[in-house]
Amino acid sequence: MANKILLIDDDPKICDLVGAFLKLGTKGIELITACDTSQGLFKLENDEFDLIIVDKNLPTRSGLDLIEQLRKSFKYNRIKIILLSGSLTSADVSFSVQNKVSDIIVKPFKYVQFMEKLKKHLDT
Amino acid sequence: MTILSTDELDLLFSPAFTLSEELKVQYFNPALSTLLQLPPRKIKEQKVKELFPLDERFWNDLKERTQEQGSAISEEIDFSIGSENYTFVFRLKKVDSLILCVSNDLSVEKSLHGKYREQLELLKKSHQQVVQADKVRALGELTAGISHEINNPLTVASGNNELLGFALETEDLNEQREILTQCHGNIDEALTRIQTIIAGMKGFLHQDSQGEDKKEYIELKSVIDNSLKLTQGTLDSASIKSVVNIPEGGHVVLGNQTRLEQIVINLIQNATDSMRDAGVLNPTLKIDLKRNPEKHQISLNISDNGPGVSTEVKDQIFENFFTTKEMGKGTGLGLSLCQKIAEDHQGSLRLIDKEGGAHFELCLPIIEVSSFASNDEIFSKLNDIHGKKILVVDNDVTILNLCQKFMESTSFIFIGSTGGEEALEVLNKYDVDAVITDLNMPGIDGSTFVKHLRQSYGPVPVFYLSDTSGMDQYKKDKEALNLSGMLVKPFKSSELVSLLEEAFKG
Repeated sequence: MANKILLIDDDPKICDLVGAFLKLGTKGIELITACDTSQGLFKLENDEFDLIIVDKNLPTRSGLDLIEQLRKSFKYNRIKIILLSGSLTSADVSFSVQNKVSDIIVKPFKYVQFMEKLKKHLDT
Repeated sequence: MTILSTDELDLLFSPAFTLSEELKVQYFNPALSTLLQLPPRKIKEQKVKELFPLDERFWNDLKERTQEQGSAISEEIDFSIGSENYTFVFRLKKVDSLILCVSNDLSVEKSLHGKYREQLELLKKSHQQVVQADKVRALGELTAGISHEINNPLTVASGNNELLGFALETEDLNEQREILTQCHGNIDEALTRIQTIIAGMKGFLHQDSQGEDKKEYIELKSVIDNSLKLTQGTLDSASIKSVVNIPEGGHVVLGNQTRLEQIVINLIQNATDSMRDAGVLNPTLKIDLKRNPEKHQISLNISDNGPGVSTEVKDQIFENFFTTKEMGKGTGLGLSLCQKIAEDHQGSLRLIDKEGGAHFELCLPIIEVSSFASNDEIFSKLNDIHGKKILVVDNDVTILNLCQKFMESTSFIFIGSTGGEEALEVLNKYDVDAVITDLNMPGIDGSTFVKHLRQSYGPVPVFYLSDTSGMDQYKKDKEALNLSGMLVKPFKSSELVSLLEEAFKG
């Protein structure tokens, strides 16, 4: 079963890196990327995704804002979301719990842990 | 006209006495006795050179001058009597066959002046410590943003390194060539990004070796660029969009790069905090540069669309230790220090009234004005008779700094300008003794500038400054514009100096 992931991150090098990681790993994970909130919403509306990875720091509008908006909407209330962040603060953790974020990946990340977390949330 | 009698001289607080032809003390007032700590019998008829611990030549010279001109005044002279140190000045006058001598005790004045200078030095040092401490604090506030900035390239470097590792494990490395090359390139780029960020921090934190605020000609655009580099992480973390508007041409001021960056970073940090705390949607930071020719100023404007500064605190924000942040979150020195730095640059920092956000305006004098201001010391030195004012016109800041440096150890006074039009304005107001102009400049070129100059200013010596490609223009214009010579880039200090000296001979 092909999995489709949406990655919302404004750094193209990070998007490239995740793409390269996914190519190495389990076959059958398709990666779509967006560089900010509005592009991300656009792609969401025009496709079906199994998982969204949202970077905390996005231009114009923070990734946290986007996550809140998704959770408040009817359509994306339950979609799996992973937060990508440069740090793991208690604020991040409590936000994640409140907004039913499935996991937090902290930058910089290692291949093995990254892929494990993805697989974990794609399989359930 | 009444002549002072010895009764009146007796009343003086300062020593007064008369000297005979042989410089022996005849009359003297009680104050002299007190000063010398000698009883009257040890003063009368004594040679003055024996009484004061001063060289014979001092009195002889004064006597000569008094006899020639009728009166004489001495220089300030230091001496000690017992354990006391004194500074005195003496005034002598020929009165019949005697020489009347009165004096003024400057000791207290001098020691107060000395103490004043000491205090000033201490104050200067402690001010510099405060400025440095504020820099450290500003950097501390930027740390979160900088960590974020570094994190992304770190992730790219680390991830690509892993991919590199995996590729190296395969059988045929040749097949992996493309991936290996890509990974290597990504790692390189990421590491360079990190190095640049750290270098920016170090550069900002670095204190001038003498602790003095060295000023040189700097381009304000680079101040803005560097400040944005350091605060990029902070702005990104708050999703703030920055809009920068810098018009064409140069915006050069005489100043200290780091100090000016300190102001801009402080203002950016304040704008960020304000917009983030208020949860502004679409937070935007606007930075622009404007030239204000009538006031001979450049204004650097930083504005945001946050809640702005409330009317209650508007008048207090520049005060020392004033802060609206909670305990432990701000020293309150930021804005007052920024204003002080602006004043040190003969400029100003103010809050402009605006709807919907805060707008701070930093005004700095254009270099044509500030190079005069910075030469104040030279203008006011009485010894300096032949300081020739040389106007150097070049849009390249490095040339301006170079010329200033070369002229520092000479008697020539450096006046800088970044373009023909500004230079003409300077010439309208101030006198200069020579002009050196670059040929290729944005705005009016060197040749056109000199044409205008000749029409309105007259016969001041003019030199062209250019690389060898400018020789043709020089030859063409030499007769018509009465040029005195050409300086060819790159040039040495000695070439510049001898060219100028030649022009002023005869």
